[in-house]
Amino acid sequence: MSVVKGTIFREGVETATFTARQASAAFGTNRLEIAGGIELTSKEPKLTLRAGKVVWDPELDRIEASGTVTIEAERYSMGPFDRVYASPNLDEIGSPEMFRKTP
Amino acid sequence: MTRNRQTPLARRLAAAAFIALGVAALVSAQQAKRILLVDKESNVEIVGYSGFNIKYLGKGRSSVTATGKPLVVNWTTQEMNLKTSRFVGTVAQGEGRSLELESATLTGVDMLLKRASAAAGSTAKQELVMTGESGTYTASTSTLKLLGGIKIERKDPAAEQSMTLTGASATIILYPNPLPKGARSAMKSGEVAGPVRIEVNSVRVEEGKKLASKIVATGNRLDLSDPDSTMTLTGNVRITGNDPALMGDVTANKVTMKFDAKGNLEEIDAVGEPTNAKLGIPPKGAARR
Repeated sequence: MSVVKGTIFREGVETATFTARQASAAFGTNRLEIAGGIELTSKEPKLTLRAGKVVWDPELDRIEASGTVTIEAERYSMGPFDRVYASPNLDEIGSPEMFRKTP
Repeated sequence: MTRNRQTPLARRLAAAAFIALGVAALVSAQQAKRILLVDKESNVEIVGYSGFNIKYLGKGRSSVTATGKPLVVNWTTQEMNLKTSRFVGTVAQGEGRSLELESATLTGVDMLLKRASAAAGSTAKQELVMTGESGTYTASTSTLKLLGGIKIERKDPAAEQSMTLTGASATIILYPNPLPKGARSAMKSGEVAGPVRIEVNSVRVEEGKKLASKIVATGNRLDLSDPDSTMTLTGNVRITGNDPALMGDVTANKVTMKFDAKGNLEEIDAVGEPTNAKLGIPPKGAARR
């Protein structure tokens, strides 16, 4: 089984790495789509996001994860969710309608 | 005699299918419960979300904004079950691999606390339910502030005690869990703004007979202190009931009721004009209202 490995940068700084079965980049939109057994691991906070599909949109500074999404930390776990938005370093995670909305 | 003719490959496929079905059922159950967050020691669990946003604040702290119908927060070590429609708060690292709730601003509060019964030697639990239209909870000071049509109910069947309290707003200081020695409920102290109504039910034992006691008090404000075993009502106070220590209705500007270790009215002190009270423990066999 082929595995794709990659790194997500934010303002030039490595914030997360991922492994998946497929990855494709749309250069016109700068979007990266990864799919299949995704494990995306952030550096700070140290979290691992697992999902069926992840789309990284650098212009929105956001990833969209779907397909039984779970998030694992040393002390806690989140989900499973159908679909979540997150910052690329996973320091903010939310449901699509509430992501980055201040209380 | 039937023989199992499955090949090793077929057995492995069957086992894999069985495991896959089990995993699918587990994921389905978790999705149905709508788990937002649960720590590795199952100490703090937030479930039933309809929307959420969680932001990492550094040093193991995260802000949590979540909505639900209701959103449910279970905190095992505090024996707390909180139902709310909107939660805006922070969680932080606790001991081991657990999380702890630091603070929360709540829209719609229905908080249940379970504690050891006040009945000596009992292993039963008592319950304290506090509700309000909104509220704030601060773990560092163990304070719950409630606003808007508040109701507080304490039920301790093993100790044969109950209390129902209503008011406009309240600030409640809670005891830690487990309760310190001598504490009778989860509520260490409280200030309730009115109009306030409180009903206290207990059982008095006289000459081996159990006698149900009921006290109903109303006023503009109520202050409770579990360490002092007192309830103080101020402003337009009226107390009625069938407790023998009462011996009639009380109207006054300020009334302090002191309770004994079994939750029975022991002493009542009324001040102000006008005061109308017949006070004191009646002689044995006195007629009860």
